[in-house]
Amino acid sequence: MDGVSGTISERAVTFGLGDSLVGIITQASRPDPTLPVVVAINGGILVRSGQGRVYVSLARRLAALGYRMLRFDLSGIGDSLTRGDGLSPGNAAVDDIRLALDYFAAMGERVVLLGLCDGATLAAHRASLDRRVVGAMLIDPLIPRTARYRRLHLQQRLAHRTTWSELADGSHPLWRRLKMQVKGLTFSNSTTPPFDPNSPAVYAGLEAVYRGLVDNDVEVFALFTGGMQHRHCYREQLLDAFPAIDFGPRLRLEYFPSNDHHLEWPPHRVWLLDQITAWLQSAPFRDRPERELSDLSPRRNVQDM
Amino acid sequence: MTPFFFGEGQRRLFGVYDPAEGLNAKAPRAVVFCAPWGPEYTFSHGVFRRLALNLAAGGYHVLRFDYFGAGDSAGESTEADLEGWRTDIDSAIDELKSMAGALRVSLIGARIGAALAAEAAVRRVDIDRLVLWDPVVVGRSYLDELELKHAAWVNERTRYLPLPPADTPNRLCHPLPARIEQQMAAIDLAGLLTRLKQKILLVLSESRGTDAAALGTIANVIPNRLTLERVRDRPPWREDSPEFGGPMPVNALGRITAWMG
Repeated sequence: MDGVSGTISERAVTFGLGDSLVGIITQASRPDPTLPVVVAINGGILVRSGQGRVYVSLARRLAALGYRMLRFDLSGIGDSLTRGDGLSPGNAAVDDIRLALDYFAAMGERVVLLGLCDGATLAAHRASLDRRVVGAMLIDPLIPRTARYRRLHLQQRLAHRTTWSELADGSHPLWRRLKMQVKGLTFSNSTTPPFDPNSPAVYAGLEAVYRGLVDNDVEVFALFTGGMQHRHCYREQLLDAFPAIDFGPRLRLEYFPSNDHHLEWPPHRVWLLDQITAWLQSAPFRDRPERELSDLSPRRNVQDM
Repeated sequence: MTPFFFGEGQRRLFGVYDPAEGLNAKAPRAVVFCAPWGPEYTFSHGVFRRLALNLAAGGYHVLRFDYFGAGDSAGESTEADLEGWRTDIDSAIDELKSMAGALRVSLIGARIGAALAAEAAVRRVDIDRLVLWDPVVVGRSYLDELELKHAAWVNERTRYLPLPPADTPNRLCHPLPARIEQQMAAIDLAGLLTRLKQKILLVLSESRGTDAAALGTIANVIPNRLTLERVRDRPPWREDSPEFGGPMPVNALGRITAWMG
């Protein structure tokens, strides 16, 4: 099952319920046992290799630095089979991550979870529940909009000449939306209401997750890109969204307005690799005391968000 | 389902083997999938998994694999080229024959993978049946099509955010080095099809361009060996909602599974 390239080895593995989850473990011939292991979560329905193989590149880069990394497909995505146990997709995904940790971090290793978009939100959810997780790299996780967001977003749009040129030539999405409303149609074909991260139920769920990260002493690198301006548009939005949470010194926040969310453009992928590597190497995990092995078991199982 | 690596030296390839259900030990049937390039593979990955499971349930040993420099296989995208992918297809065929104990193997290829599968069928004597799904017929036309889609993508993405210059040539954000572009430009499936001796299923999704007409002409030239199926499915290698996945082409999957028997 091994693929070996130089001193880096890549191994295909199956684990979870009925060995239904598929992943790849990448490591050097002699990984550094003092480093946490890294587990990467799918973004959306993308296969485990990630957009433009970004997780493949990351795994090989980290392996060269001594890290072990698992990238795997959540159930029903990529090569992994569906679970068939009746859990909702979100809760099934969070439990899939638990199964990945049970398999990959079975020897009491400390874990850093990494996710993009809804993969980031799932990573945060698991990290808030699981004592094995000491770090979470969250790229564009779901956060509520704030009053400052609405003001800034409007200002940014109004200040951009693309908005005005598209309004003038009729190509702006606003025209399409208005036309459909005039015709009595909804913008989406869906009969369900549009997803709203500020709805009371979603807000409460997200607040529990982010509070759980603090309670669980997880080092968090929350990185936001300008490619999700319909959701966030400034660096401190996470803090403003949850004023009741004291995130403390374990949170690092960055906002990169020029970077696209999907990491499609090759330079943006290189940039992301640099960000992740620099954060992991910046030593928040090396400096902090080891958790007791007895304290590394999962605190809770899946709960509804 | 067994995910594993195979191949020699630095050219380790990732594959997923689905063994046949209801084993026929006397005459094992086997099929290798030849994947499309770049984003087309990303979008259609789930479709090939579905097709693999269908065929395994129907008694086929199935191997899906990633070319060198693609998916989970060794190598970087910038190191890939079609000459190497041809040897990868040969490696996959030999691997599956060994695993399944099969003497002959069928090939199912999509887009650029269909053209490479047809080449393998000319090159080798152990290829049984051939399924060509929306094949790339004229390489130069395919590259022009990619360039148009790429320009549209850049135009959309730069509505509000500028894009920094990329170090390596790419189409739709996947590296397309000059070497592989030249090799793609040389593809001429029409000339190849008339040399094939195998039974061929040609599957064409809706909304195909001018190459569909060329393929229709070829179908008339070799009617005894070629079955042409036009399906009312959107192509699974184009991004569809939800993002980063293509539609599930149920008609095409049904026709292919039925034709393979």
